[in-house]
Amino acid sequence: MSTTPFDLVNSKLATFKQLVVTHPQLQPLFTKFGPFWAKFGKVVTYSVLILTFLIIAAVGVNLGLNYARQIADTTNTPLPINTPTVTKTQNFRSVLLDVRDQVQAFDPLLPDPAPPAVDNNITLKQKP
Amino acid sequence: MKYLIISLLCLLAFVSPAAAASTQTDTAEADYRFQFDRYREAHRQYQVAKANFFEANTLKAEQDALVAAKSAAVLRNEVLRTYTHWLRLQLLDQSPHYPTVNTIAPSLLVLEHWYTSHSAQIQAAGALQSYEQVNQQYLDHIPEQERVFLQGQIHLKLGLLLDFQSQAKSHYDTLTPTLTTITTIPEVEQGMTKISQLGTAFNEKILTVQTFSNALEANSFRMDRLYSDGSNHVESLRNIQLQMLDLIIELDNRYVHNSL
Repeated sequence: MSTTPFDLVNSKLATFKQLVVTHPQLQPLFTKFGPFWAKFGKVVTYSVLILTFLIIAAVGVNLGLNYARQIADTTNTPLPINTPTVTKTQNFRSVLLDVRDQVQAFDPLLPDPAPPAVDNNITLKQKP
Repeated sequence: MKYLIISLLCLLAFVSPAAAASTQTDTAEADYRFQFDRYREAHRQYQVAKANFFEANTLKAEQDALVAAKSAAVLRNEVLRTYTHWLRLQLLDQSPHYPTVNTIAPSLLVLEHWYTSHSAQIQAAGALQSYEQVNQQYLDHIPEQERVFLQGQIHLKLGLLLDFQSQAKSHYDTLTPTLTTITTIPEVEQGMTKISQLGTAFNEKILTVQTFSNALEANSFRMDRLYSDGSNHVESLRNIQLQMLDLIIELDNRYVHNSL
């Protein structure tokens, strides 16, 4: 069983009341300070409670923020999708395609190879 | 070591004769181009010497011009001879699938010999008059030269097309057993019939071109017209071949290998 400051103050007050009974000359002092200590005890008790609540709330908020940050950093990977299996088609290439390309590129024009363009009249005669 | 030498000799013995022929053809072409370069330089010197001769009209200038003209004429013959040799070797490369070239090649060889012989006559000409006589022989021989060249060129084209044709035929022959089992498919039957018709048309066209080539002897020479007619013949052959190849490729893809 924990003892609150309020309880301490009350116990001190009770002790002080007994002192007042045994020492009547303390009656004016008791009248003056008794309610003050009672109020002081309540204030201290509530302050500690409020402070504890605030600390717990601050720690909770801090933990919550850290957790939220961690969630934000992680990459969202979608769930694997079952892809349908495609039946492979054999890519056939006819050997004649190369021959066809050669025929397409074949030049039908004559003369090929062109005869050399030479001077057919190497003469020393004067032109008329 | 002994086995290594024997292995190497065996390897050399099995080297394709076609590859060797191709190397010969390449060498002939290189020789032709080399001679052409020599001729260009000689012809330039001949033009200079001829201009000097006409301008100075001295015995010395005449002799210089004669030497230059003879040199240019001999090198021109050498250019024509090496061209003829190159054309002949190209034709002979086609002989495995077009044996007709073996009957055309000898006329090119005769022409080669003619140039050699004519060059000797040019060298022997010691005076202007005798040189002009030899030059006239060359001029008289030009129609024959053009005829042989054109014949060789036409048959070279035929040889190349027949090479493609033999490749197409050998591939089609491998498809025929499969195709004959599915002639119930109308497209297959139509395709095979069309290929057969195109093959016949191709062979007929080959005969037409050969007749055209042989008839060159009787023609008076208008080379541009002959080149044009020859080109048209070759082009129509090529078009028939392309149609046939398209059909074979389609049948192969669609009905034999089912890839379409």
